Amino acid sequence: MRNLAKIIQLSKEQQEFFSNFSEEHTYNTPAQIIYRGQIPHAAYILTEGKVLIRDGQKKIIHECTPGTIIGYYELFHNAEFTYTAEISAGSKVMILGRFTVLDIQKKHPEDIRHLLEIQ
Amino acid sequence: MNCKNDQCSGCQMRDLGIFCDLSESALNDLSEHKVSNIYKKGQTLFMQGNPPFGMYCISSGIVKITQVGSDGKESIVRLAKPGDTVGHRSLFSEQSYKATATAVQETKVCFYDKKYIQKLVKEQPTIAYNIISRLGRDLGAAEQKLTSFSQKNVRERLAELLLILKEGYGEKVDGRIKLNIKLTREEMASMIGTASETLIRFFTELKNEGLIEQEGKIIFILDEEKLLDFANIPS
Repeated sequence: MRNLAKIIQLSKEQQEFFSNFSEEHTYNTPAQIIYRGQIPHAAYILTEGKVLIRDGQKKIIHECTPGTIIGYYELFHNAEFTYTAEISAGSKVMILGRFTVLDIQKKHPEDIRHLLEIQ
Repeated sequence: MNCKNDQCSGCQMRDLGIFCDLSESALNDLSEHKVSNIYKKGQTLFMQGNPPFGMYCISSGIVKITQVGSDGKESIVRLAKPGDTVGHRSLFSEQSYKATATAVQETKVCFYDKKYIQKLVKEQPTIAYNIISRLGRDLGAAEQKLTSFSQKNVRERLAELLLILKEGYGEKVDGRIKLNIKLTREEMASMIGTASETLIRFFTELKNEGLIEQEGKIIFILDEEKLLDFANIPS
């Protein structure tokens, strides 16, 4: 995944950890949840369905499966996305907003460092 | 594109937005928690049917709010301009978005996530008051639109639409009022609940009557008083 920042596959335990901070939501309509060049509103943990990652030329470079966390690295580092992400209709995600992420980092700094070290 | 270093205290839209009453320290806190991005023309902020997780404040540009009906047709229900917020109704009603928000032109948007807004509303009552005030204003506009649809003919609705656009996007230029917004005929037709062909016919009538003129895609209002008559609005 050339030019991609971090798209991480979470273990079941890690998904459970994040489920303490966010509920699951269903995307009834396909949508662009990430635009290349923008900075993140939120990170997304895909629990069901599919998210397609495309590069600047709209080529699909990765298909995210349930358990993937998208955008956490960019949110943590306040970095621009280098890709777009499109979620399919019927997919379910846990959404971690900026405020929630800052809260997690304050209360569980070791857990977050461990998560990012997986890279 | 993003706008990482913009401070809320320096925002040109500060006095038009819901955060206008906040102190400098509160605005600094706001700046820490906002995410500013630029949306290109055609990019969506959110889609009808999807879950809300924050509120968007328009800093510059224009966002159209559209709904797709059961017949699959898309209609513009509102236009959001600098100082307006979008997405707040679904956020507070805990429902999926009832409409789609799309940038009509390059638009700068500040986003505040749901948990932060909930915290802010509890700590700063003026924010809650301003949001309620906005909701009241939006409801009034929706009721007015409903009345227009039921009581006015297409010509009157078109004239009224031009006057509404003049309020939000009008600029006096050489004795005319320039509408600083480019909408397609289809978009304007959807806003007044008619077909494009019908809109074009009445548009031509307004031009022939000397009420409006066009230069490329830009519309100029020439006679506001007469347009008010056509819209059946008391001046």
